[in-house]
Parts: sequence; structure tokens; C-alpha cells
Amino acid sequence: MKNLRRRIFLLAFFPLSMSLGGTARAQVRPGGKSVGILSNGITANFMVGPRWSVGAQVQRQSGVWVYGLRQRRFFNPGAPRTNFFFALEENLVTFDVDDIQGRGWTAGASVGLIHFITPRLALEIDAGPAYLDLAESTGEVANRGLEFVANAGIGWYWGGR
Amino acid sequence: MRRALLATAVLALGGGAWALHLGTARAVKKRAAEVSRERTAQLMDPWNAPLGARIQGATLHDGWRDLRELPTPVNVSGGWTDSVMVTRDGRRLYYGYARYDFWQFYLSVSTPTGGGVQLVPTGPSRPGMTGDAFKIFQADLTSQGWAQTFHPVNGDPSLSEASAAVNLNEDLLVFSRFPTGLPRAVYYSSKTAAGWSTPAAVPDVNSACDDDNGFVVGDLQSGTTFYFESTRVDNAATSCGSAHRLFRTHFPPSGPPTPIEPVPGLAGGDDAQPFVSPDQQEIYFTSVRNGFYGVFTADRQGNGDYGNIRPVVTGTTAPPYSGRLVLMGEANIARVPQGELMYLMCGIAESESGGYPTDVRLAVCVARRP
Repeated sequence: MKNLRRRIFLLAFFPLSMSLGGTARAQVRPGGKSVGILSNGITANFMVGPRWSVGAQVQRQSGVWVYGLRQRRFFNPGAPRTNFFFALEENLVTFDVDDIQGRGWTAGASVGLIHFITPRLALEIDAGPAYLDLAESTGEVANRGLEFVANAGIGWYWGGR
Repeated sequence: MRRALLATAVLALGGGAWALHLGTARAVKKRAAEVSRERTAQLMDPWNAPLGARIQGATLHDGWRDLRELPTPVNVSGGWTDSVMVTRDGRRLYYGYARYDFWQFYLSVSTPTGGGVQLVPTGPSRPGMTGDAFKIFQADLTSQGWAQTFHPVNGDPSLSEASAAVNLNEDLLVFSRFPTGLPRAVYYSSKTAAGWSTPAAVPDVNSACDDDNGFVVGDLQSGTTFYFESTRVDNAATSCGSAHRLFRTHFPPSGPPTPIEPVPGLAGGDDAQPFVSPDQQEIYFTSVRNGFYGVFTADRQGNGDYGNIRPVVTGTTAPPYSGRLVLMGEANIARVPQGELMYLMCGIAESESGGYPTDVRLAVCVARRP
């Protein structure tokens, strides 16, 4: 069911992106903005300089909410199709799994790339370690440690100089 | 660009040391599930079962400590919760509950004023109750705390049924039934694949001498020893006295039970409410002896008699009484990896008057011995 929804979304999104793309260049640019689907959630990003973007994200899994910030530093902004970046991510977390509630935070670093498949539509992927610190609501049980997280998604880019 | 790709590949390969998660939320879910499992195990651990307020005015002996009330749903405001029993693993409680106000009943019996026995409903109806009389409830330890259910051996709502106790295998249950006032009678029910059997009177035990608070060791297949309290003055209950004593009889897998006998070694007190360990090496009971009232214990000696009788829990015996432990009894012991848990009934004076405790409320409570 999930795969079907993704296919429908992509089929609808590609022509839309192509039609809106016009003569726009396929690259990240200062002042540019993007929204997209990333892994289990949504993300919005804004270029705050020639190399840095800041963004917010919300992710969800059954019983889990993750909401936080992302910062990306692009190695080759302005490149015609593929842009590589280093990213930092900080999130707050709430969970309710099997009637046990808790909260916590995560912080991660990753490297990845954005690859434009149309002038405005890009596939995104990144991967790296993330530190997770979770605690059950009474504080009786905590869980901390490193996990390896990969993100994959699709973003729509507009604006910028 | 190549360096970035190389770094991605290195990190991806490094990721082999951990599980790879698509999205932070999936990584969080994995860790949250671990937290949930650990917390659930913690909550399901009888040693960490939910606790209420610490009980003041109690003196604990023999290594026991930290006497505390249990929270709801086991204890409720009002009514009369009594006769707690804990299974050996500490995961299940049995207790009786009537809507009647304990203190009004107690006063009307202990200091009669001519108004008769006062049975005044003040407590809420627990789930399954259709009357006000005593009924047996079971509480199972879950990750959400104690989960209470109405026990299927309960019969006619007008009958009082309480003082339930199960054997180690939890397939044989004994309890007291008082049809219309005293005397009480002891009944049993066995558990089969079809559920609990229709209760029947424990054979060759019941008399006119208030036989009550039965406790059973063993099982129907290999034989059981049945302990109980009674006011009978002799083994055959030819007449009844005022003091209680502990008696026992053994039911072999087939054939008649052994003659009823006093539990050996316990003479000299007014003894009631026995708990016996599965190996019968330990006995706990409520007693008034040598000028002391409280919960006592004794160990089985080489000759089979119980000896080394000593107090376990005693209460406040001089003012101030308010907020302090003044009644206690019905101790049962669970053994868990961290130590032992003693569940018992605690009577806490809400106030005092004329140098005496008043408005005593009964609550299920627990102490521990690491």
C-alpha cells in the first residue's frame, strides 16, 4: 500500500515538476528553498548562503515522532546536476511503544548528495552515524547509543539567485 | 566530489557495525522498543510492583523493611478490603472485598452498643460485584500495574466469600464462605482446562467453631496439607472456645484425610491466619502471645514441630495512634530473585479518641526483605 502511494505521488510529481521547471537551472543556489519527502517524513530547507542551508524536518514511525533541524554544507553548490553535502541533524523525539511512553533527542552527522532529475526535482540521499538518547517517562529506563542512519527522499527546489 | 563519495562509502561500510536504519525515526523506534521492553520487564518484576505511601508506626523485625500500602485498584477508599494472599512468584494477589465499612463493623462487634452488627456500605462496587457482601478478587501484575478481576469461584452475591489462598501450582484454591453470618466454612475449588470447578466444602473440616483462613500446600495429585484456624477446643471440635488456634490435616491422593491436629509447636497464643511455605519449613501467622500482638513466624525444627517463634510485624501500642499502624495480619510471602516480599493487611488509624485509635481503615500493604 505504501509503495503504491509513493508511485502515485511520483507519477503526479514528475510532470508537475517538469512543467513548473521552465528554464530553471538544476542546482542548489543561494536563497533557494526546497520541500520534500525524506525517509519517514517531510523536510523544508532554505539556503542561507552560498554553501549552507538550514531546514526543519518531521519524521514519524508508528508510535514515534521525530522533529528537528538540519544544516547542510554543500561542497559544490551551483554544480549542474549533482550536489554533495555534509549535514548535521538535531532532533527531539517522543515515543509511545507498547504503552510505554518516553522522550529524548538525537544528533547526527552525515554526507550525501542531491541529484536533480528535472530542473526542480531532485533525489536526495545521505547517510551517517546518529547518537540517540531516549528515556522512559519516569526516567527509570534510558537507552543511549550510536545508530547508522540513511535518508532517502525527493525534493522540490525553487527560488534563489 | 570524490572525497565526499568516498566518505559516504566509508560511513556506509562503517554502518555495518550498527544496524542500518532508513530514517532517524526508524532508529528511534528500534531504541524505543528496547526501552519499552526493559521498562515492561521492570514493571512486571514483582520486586518493582507499584507501591503507595509508607506506613508509619510499624516495627519490622527479622530483616523485613519498607512497609508500604499498595495503590489502587487493590486498595480503594471506603469499604472493607481484607484477607490478602500473594502467589509464591509475587505476580498475583487474591483479596476479599465488601462494600461494608470496616470500622463501623469492628466497633459494633468489639464494643456493642445494642444496635447490632453494623454492615453499612461505604465503599464502591468493585468490577463484577452485584451485592455488598465479601467477594474474592484477583489482581495480576501487568506493565500497567495491578489489573483486578472478579474471581470465578464467587457464587451467590448475598454470600460472603473471602480469605482465598492458592497452592504453589495455583491449581487449587481454598477460601471461606459465610452463608449467613458465623460460623464460617472453608471451601475449595480446583482448576482444570475448563476453568475453576464448582466450589465444595473441604471434607471433614468444617465445624461450628469458626473454621476460617485456610491455606493449602501440595496438590490433588500428590496430596495436600490443609492448614486453617479454628476456635475448636479439641481436634474433633466437640466444643468451641474463644481463642483461635492453627490446625492442619493431610489429604492423600486417595483415601481419607489424616485426623485434624494442632500445628505442632505453636501452643501458647491466640493464633490465626496461617501462611506456610511450599516446603512447610516456614510458617507465618497472626498472633497474640506473650503480651504482644502482631505477625509472627516460626521455623520447622528437626522433630517436625515449629519453633523459634518470633515477631515479624508489630504496630503502635501507645498514643499517638493517628496515621499509624494499629492492626495487622494475613501475612503471605513471595520469593523473587531480589529477595522476599511479604504482603499483609494493615490497619491504619485515621484518628484517635480517649487514648484509643479510631477510624481504622484496612489496606493491603507490602514489606520486603532483600
